[in-house]
Amino acid sequence: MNRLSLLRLLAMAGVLSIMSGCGHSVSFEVSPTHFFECHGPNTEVHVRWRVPRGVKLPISIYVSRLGREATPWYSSGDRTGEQTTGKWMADGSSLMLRDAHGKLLVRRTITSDDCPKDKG
Amino acid sequence: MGKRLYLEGTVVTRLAKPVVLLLLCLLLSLTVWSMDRHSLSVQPMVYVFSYGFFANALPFVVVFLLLLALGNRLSLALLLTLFLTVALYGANYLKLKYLLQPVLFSDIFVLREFHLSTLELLSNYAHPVWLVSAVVLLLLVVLATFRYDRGFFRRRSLARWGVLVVSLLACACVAAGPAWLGDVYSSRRLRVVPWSPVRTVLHAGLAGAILYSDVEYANALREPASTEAIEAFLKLKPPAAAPVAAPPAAAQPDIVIVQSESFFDPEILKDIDGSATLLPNLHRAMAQGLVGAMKAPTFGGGTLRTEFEVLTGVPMHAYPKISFPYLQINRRRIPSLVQVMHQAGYAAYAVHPNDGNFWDRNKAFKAMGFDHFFSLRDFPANARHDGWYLADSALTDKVEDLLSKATRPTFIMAISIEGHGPYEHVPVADKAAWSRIPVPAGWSPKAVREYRNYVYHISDADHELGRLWDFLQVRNRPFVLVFYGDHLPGLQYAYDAAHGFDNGRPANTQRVPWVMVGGNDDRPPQGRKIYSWMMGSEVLDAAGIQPPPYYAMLDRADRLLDAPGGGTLDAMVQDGIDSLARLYLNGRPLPKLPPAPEDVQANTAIAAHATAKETIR
Repeated sequence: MNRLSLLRLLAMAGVLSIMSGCGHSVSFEVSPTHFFECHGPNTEVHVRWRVPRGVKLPISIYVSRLGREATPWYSSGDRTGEQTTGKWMADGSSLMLRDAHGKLLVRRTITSDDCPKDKG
Repeated sequence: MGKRLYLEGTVVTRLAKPVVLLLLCLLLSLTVWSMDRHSLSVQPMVYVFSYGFFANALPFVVVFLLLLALGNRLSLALLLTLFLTVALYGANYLKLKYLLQPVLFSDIFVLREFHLSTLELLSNYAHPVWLVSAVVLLLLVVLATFRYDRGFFRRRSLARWGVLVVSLLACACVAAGPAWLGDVYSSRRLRVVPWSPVRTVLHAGLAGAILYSDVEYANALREPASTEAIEAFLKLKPPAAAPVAAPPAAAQPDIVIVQSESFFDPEILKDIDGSATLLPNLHRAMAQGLVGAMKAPTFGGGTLRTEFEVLTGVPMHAYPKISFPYLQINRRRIPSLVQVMHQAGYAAYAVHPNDGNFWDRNKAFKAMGFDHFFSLRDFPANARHDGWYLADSALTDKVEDLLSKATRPTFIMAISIEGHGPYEHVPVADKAAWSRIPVPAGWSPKAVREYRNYVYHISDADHELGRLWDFLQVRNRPFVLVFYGDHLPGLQYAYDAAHGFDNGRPANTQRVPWVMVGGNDDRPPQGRKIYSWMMGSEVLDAAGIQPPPYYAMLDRADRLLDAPGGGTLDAMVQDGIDSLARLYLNGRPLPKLPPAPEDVQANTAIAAHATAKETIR
């Protein structure tokens, strides 16, 4: 493969990494990100965040069910923290971390699978 | 490595060209998926590389290849495909934002009737200046690419013809919707969520979901109507029907059908001795001979199947490939009881305190012809909740409100939701009433909790039956009130704990009660077994409304069921009705009913009289 083709591939990889949301230092982890619907369509999700100094506090966490408006769920003046949602997170539900200006920093969406027969 | 050739001024090998094309297709698929996720407002690459990802990408890749083969310009094909993609996902984003519903296959009907008012409507959502600018920009790009971009394929390239033929064939397949495409775009593979179009899009992508509907639409209704089956059915001799006594216009009864979520009488369980204290209004109706047993086409869920049968008179049995009729029958007009009511001068409303998009009811009820569908957003914000959803009392409030404001005979289809499961942890508002519900000794805690939770909510349904009944009685207006359960609930523990049912048959074969109050009482429901697709003809008969031909056929099947030895449909009746239903749903003419025996006698007498007169002359 010649140099130009290689450059194109690298450019594509760059585009993909931008699209997948890499490249910023805000950390926003949710667990689980994927669950089996053995105990109903909803689950609890544990959330952990860490924001750098450049981000204006307080941060807010919004929740949006699929196809619905996002609503505020939690707000904090701490740069790091963790919280657990109620059992209302479902397939396609998103948690969004926003700064004090309401700017979206990170979005995390959880996904599900049908309950496998051996777990049901 | 072979002969060198030129592409956009750069030197690449012959093998590199398909590789570039493949990579572009992958990049296009990823871009499309990213737009899809953006239009849903979820994380950009959620469910990437799932089956739905590829199913969603396929149509875009086909369009890209088709444009490439036709125009022979790589950049043009790519830009045009991206333009179409942006247009589709822009529409999806706006539709979700304003109508809380994704773009659906049925939206094609809007485009079929595209006129000025459609444009005006759409301009409320997307600024016309943007649209015009986009079209101008597109034209400039097209001109520029033809001017500056080199041809991708060589002259008289076989590969170009190959790509053209394959992509055209793919387009033809989508248009025709062959059965095998149903395996590719199957509900199981795509993880279609029938009650939630937006979750289907989450799994299958927007294009995947649209193609799924397209294939379903093409295949689900392809069931043949058998002339032999219809003739055999028409040869059967049911008991004679009493003539329909049409009331004068002023005395036309208001008609309310209440489809009660998961309602059945627990008394049919082996270990449950009596339910009179739990369901006093059902027993009040029983005592007056107003309760029969109805076979619903579903168990534990799938409310829309019973609802569809009641509203259209079409048995689900006639369309074995259809599981979710509102989703799979994408028609602008679905023949229904509503249209019969309209012809008889009725206003027709549907009421259901849940999201109007659930099971695609908004679309289906519009196609059936309801004047208005009152869904969750039409209920007051402080409407009472009980269970997972709005209480049945809120539904009764709405029905009573509509009837109080009515200025002409009114037909209301009220669909309750309070009794919805799952029951193990369903909330109950009145804990004291809950704890008073009697449960046989020896049941496990799980069975006790599940049974009490279920009975608590159907007791509320029964209370609302009584309330509506009383309300209708004191209005000084004739009425027909129908109340039935849509199916038995999918109880996990209580059926086993109760040692099954009195008749020894499994839960999914049991019948639900149907109550009919008011109207003419020549055929009271007591002890009568019907199928839910017969309900429409029962209602018309009770209300004194002349049945149109299809409903006359349903009435005939109903009376055959009433005949001595009836109670279950024999294959001849079922096959005949299935074939008639297929004709009816497709708007094809129905055969004429053979004259009833008394009509034959009357006709013979008239003919004899005419002959005698002729002889005298």
